Amino acid sequence: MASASGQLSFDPYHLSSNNEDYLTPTNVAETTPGQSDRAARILTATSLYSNSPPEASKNWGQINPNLNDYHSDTMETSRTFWIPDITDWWRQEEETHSKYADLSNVARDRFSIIANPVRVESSFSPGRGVMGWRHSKTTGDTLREKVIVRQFAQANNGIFVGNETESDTTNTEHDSEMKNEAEERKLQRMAKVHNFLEMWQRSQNLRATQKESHTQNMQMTAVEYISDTEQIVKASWSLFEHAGAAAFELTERSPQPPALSAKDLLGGRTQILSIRRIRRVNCHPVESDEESAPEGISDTED
Amino acid sequence: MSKWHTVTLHHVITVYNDMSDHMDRVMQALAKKKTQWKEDLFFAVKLAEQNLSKYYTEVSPMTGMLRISAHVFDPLCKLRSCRKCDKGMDINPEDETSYTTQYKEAFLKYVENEYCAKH
Repeated sequence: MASASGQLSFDPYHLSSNNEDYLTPTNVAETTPGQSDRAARILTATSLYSNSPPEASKNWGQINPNLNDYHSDTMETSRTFWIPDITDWWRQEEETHSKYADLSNVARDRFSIIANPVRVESSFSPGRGVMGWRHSKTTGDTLREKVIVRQFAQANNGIFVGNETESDTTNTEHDSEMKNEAEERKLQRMAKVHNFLEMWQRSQNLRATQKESHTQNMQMTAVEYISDTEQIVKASWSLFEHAGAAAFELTERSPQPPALSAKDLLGGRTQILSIRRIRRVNCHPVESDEESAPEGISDTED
Repeated sequence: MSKWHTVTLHHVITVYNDMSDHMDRVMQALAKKKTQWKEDLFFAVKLAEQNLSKYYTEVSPMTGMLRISAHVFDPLCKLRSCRKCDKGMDINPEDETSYTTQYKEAFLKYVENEYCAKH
């Protein structure tokens, strides 16, 4: 009876684990009668709890679904659902001093641990790690290729891991070729790396060609290259007036040299059937200013 | 689950079971399909199941008692998942080799070692 009355007057909540650690001296026995009773009660409650069927989900507290981002969806909140709050159930057990009151401390210790499913979530949803919030225009194909290439690289310590096997002298040449081929097939199947490299090579070639043609154009310009020499009409500086302000006045005189007329020709010939002019390009027109235009032109008459 | 503001540790085993069941159903539905995208999906689900099994094997009485105890402390479930597994494998839950008996003994031993021995 004494032990029974002692158990009734015993308040287990004044002997929480933290208070015991602080108040118990180091030179006393580790196990006291009160502690053994409490351990026995915990064991009994655990056995009772595990052997009993699951509780019915009624008269429990309810979690506000808006607290959870997962349930912030309008479609989800419009539906009638109910999330049982298991911590509220254990709180009720503790407050009512029920048969599981001792076990509630153990449950509280367990549920105070934050679930940390980082490894699981990172394995099944790596998209956010690859594509940040600012990458709003990245397509699904690009994301897929990025994820595949990254996981392949992580699994093989680098994409071109086959290069390391070449230095291994124990491998035969055939094995290394087989490995390289397998590596090549993996790369072709898993990502379009080669397409990217080919595109990059083509762009490099195009850039080199443009550079080369630009250099050639610069050289052509330096020697004053003109495609058709027969269309050139040489204009001498003597055809222009050097009269200061008179040079800016409108004049009807053409800068072209005067056409040859019949009276200018020697021999009294009056009819010109055709005239073919072959002129040479004069690269130094300043030096030839003193020469007159008719003299600088070699005419051929047919 | 990481975005929840409440206790979620007891949901881990439930989520694992649901994901495993869902993947099994998808693989059964896509097993004989010949369309390219369905074959790709089948291959992806197969890899995902292998990845999940890697984590699921860590939930054992030897290594994952933290998650098992949290799952058992859920008064709505307790050992219902173990009984469901036993029922699926045609094992009597009262047998010593059943999941229910093994997990119950492991749970009792865990509480005894972690709390009763110290208090």
